[in-house]
Amino acid sequence: MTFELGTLVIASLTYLLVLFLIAYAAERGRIPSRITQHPLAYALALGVYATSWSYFGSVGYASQHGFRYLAIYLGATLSCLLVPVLWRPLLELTRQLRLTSLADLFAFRYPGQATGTAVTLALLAGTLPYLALQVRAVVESARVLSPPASATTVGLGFCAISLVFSVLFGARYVTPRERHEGLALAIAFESLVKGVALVLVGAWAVVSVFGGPGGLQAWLDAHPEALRAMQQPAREQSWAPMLVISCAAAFLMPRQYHVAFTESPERDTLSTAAWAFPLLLLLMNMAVPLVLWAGRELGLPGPADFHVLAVPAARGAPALAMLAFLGGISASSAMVIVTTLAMAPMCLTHLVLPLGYARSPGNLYRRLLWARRVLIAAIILAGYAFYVHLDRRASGLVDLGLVAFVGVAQFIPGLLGLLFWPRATRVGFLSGLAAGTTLWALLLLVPLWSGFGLPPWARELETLLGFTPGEPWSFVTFTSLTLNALAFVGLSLATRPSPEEAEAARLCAREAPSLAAGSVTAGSPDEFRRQLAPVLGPQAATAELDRALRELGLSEGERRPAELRRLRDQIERNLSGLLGPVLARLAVSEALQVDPRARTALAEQLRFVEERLRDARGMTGPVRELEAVRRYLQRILEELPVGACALGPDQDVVIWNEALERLSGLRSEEVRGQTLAHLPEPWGGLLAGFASGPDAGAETQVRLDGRERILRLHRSLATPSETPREEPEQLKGAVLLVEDLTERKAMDARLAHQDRLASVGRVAAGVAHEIGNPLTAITSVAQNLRYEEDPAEIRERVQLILQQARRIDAIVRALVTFSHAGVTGGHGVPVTRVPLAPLLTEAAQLSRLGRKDADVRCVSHCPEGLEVVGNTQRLEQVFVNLITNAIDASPRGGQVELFAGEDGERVRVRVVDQGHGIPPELAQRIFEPFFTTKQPGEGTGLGLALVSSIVREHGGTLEVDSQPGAGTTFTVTLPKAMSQRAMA
Amino acid sequence: MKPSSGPGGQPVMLSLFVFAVAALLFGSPLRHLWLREGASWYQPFAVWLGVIVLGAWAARRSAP
Repeated sequence: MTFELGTLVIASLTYLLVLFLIAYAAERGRIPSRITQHPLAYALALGVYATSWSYFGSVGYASQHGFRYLAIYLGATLSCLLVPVLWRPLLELTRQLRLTSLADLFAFRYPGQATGTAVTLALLAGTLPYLALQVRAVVESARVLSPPASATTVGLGFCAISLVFSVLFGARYVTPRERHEGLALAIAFESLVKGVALVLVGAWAVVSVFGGPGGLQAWLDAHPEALRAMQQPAREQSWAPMLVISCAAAFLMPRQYHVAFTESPERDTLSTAAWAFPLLLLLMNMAVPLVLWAGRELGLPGPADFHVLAVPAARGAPALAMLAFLGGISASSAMVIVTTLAMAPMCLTHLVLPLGYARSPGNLYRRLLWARRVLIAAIILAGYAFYVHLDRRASGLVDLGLVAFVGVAQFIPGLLGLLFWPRATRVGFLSGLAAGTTLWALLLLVPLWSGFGLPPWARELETLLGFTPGEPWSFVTFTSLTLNALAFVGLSLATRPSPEEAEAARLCAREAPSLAAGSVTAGSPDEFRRQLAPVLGPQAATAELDRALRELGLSEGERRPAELRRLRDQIERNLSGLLGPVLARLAVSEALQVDPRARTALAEQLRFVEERLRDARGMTGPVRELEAVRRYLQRILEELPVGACALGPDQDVVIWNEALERLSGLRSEEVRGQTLAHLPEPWGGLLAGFASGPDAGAETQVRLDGRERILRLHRSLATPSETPREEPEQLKGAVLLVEDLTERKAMDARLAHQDRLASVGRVAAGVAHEIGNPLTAITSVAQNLRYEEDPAEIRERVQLILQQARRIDAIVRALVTFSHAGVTGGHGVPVTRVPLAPLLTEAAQLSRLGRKDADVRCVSHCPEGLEVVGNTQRLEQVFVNLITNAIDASPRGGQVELFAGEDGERVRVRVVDQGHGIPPELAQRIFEPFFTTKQPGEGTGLGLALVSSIVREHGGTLEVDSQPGAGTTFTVTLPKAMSQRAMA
Repeated sequence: MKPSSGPGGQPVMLSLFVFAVAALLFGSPLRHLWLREGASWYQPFAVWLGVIVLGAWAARRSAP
């Protein structure tokens, strides 16, 4: 059974078009991300590992080497077991540093353009045999179904179609930094198609050729040599070289690296891929012996490479044969498309751009895009040229693939050094790679054209070392990797890493990177744009700057040195995906220069440490404890009820806690790193002035959100005890505490007013009594006055009335004054010199008004002329409260004494009673609001709390000394008013 | 400073252990056990499937 070539071409084109539509729909968001980002889609995409070599060649290889064909896939399974050790760290590195290819990765770790160029050339050399393999598989599979087909026509046609679809899939726009959702999904679909096709062919072979599983077993029982031919060679031959190179190829081949790391979804998919990818390989490979035995039973002529097509064709199953052919097209096209999409940017950044291509005038992105398309074409045509010049006698499909695998395995030593050996150097890596790759090229690559196989000296050595003759790749794997590793280790030990290498090594080994020193000379994003334009072109400069600003959440008005340094690093990272790490570093270094002498902001140092510790989550040992302590202390600081702001030596904000965020409305992220002077008003002026002022504490009034607020500021110098003696100035900073007193002041004022009203109530009865007496007298005199005719008597009685009226007036005035003072709040109270003696006398009188029945004398021993600084009404309130309490505590007939005297620059007033005293367990609580020892209705519990508050406001102190049964003494200390002479 | 999911961490050691077991099964003379004469044709695939199951378990333990 045969097909027309045209039928095969139309079927292939239709299939590829369907693939493109899937990719297009995914990119346009027509396919939900839960499918495009699904871990199983990622695992299926990794199935690009199984190319036409696996699809067609495995049957042929199994016919010669039995189950040994499995080693290629068991090696990939071993690789998946190393996901936590190798794959995940690599994925983190490539994401963090935007390293889109293996050449980028090595060029970052072993810095220098030579590294990128060498890796790219080596990968290119290893890729070409593999591309040739795909062309050959497509040509020969087409000729199995359509024998008259021209090899040249089919080969060139396949290359042309691959070129078109490679550009459509991955080179319609320029940036390789973003995941091509469509490409990944299309490759996953291709894997599904080839997997299903192969499994169907195998299952169909069992049913159609053997009559079912029972028939297969019967056939195997009847032909034990068939199973023996699978088992015996696999027992006798070594598997180790094949396991090693396939383990490396599973993630180091350009297409594998591209799918595994560059195209990986954001979510964690590696855990699923670790089992799903090997499972896919297992299912595909289970069909191989079934197809082989079916071909044997059908008596198909060898080689068995294309039995997958020949078995259904021989049994007259055209639909299955076409599906099997499309499965092969799927395997080949996926490999070619992904490989060229991986290799083209690599060649661009490490072979073309270093020649100065990026600096040509015009739109950088457009030039890069066209360069990439041209490179895709060049790589595919190079693969075709390799195919044309192949020596057909010397190589089966698997041989070509193994040659590529050995070439890629040369990166194993360098990769292990990259991840686990910071001492490895660029010289060591390049030397090892050069030695291994040269030996590989001489012994494996060149013979693919010449057909001469190993040279005599190598053949002798192969025999001497006990390798199986006829398998040069096994011998070359051992020798090239040994030479490579020895050169790598030896020369790394013999040379010293440069500082740049050492820094890259720390990053790659996930050790602590050092903090980038210095600040960018450009002072604003606009300056960034102007300085980048000559290097990248105005359009690209603007686009890259806007992108970096967006990613970091910064604005065009950003001026903080630390943030501008981050902006520079982000631009370099982004450009690394576009130009490669080496050129990106060069371009950014040239455009955005760094002043290394500039001191790194303390805020940046702190953030650096925080990020390091945050990244260290999940670590063991003291780091975890250190992180726990840091987070604990940070929570304490953040949840302080007062605003806390730590400053660096340049008054740059290091810490800005949550309370201060709430108070100021400024977020910590936007404030940290700013100097105080650059903060928005009123905070900039307020804090900068206070931080550099002479006072360590101050109370001020500011307008925030249209409201007047009262803030108390405290300042202390922050000088850690670990300050190095030689650099004390570097660690000087300050801590500012900002306390919002607005609510508390208002509360104090309300309390004072309530207390005053309560006092008014208490004295009301006394007042009524006090006023009642003169009022009775006035009434009585006035009644008698009507009948009095003697003018002298009338004047005397009127004088008596006026005297009693003045008495009433004095009482009323005192009451009104007392009840209204302090209503407007605690701020803005006028402070004057207050004579103490009259104040105490008036307070005593007022107190007694409310305690007429108490029969307690109140005696003042205050010297005349003694003055304090304060507010008369509020101080009067203090003493009214204290004296009233003293009267209440005193027994009938008792006495309350007031003593006053100077004590240095202060005045001490003692209020002494002979009452029952205060029990020690209550002495600590009497200043608490609403705490009272009086009967319900007799006291509000606010008096002493208010007294304490007022005394503190006056800068004074209040102490109590009491013994149960021996009376109580309250001592008030107030600032003494200086004499007029002293003040002058 | 090494992450627990990096070399030296317990979950990673588990993966390395499974890797070592698999490498022994596939790369050492131990493979004669599942390639011996008379073994059923699907025995290599059964061993392979067992390694995949172990690997899935280890990968799940080491997931971040």
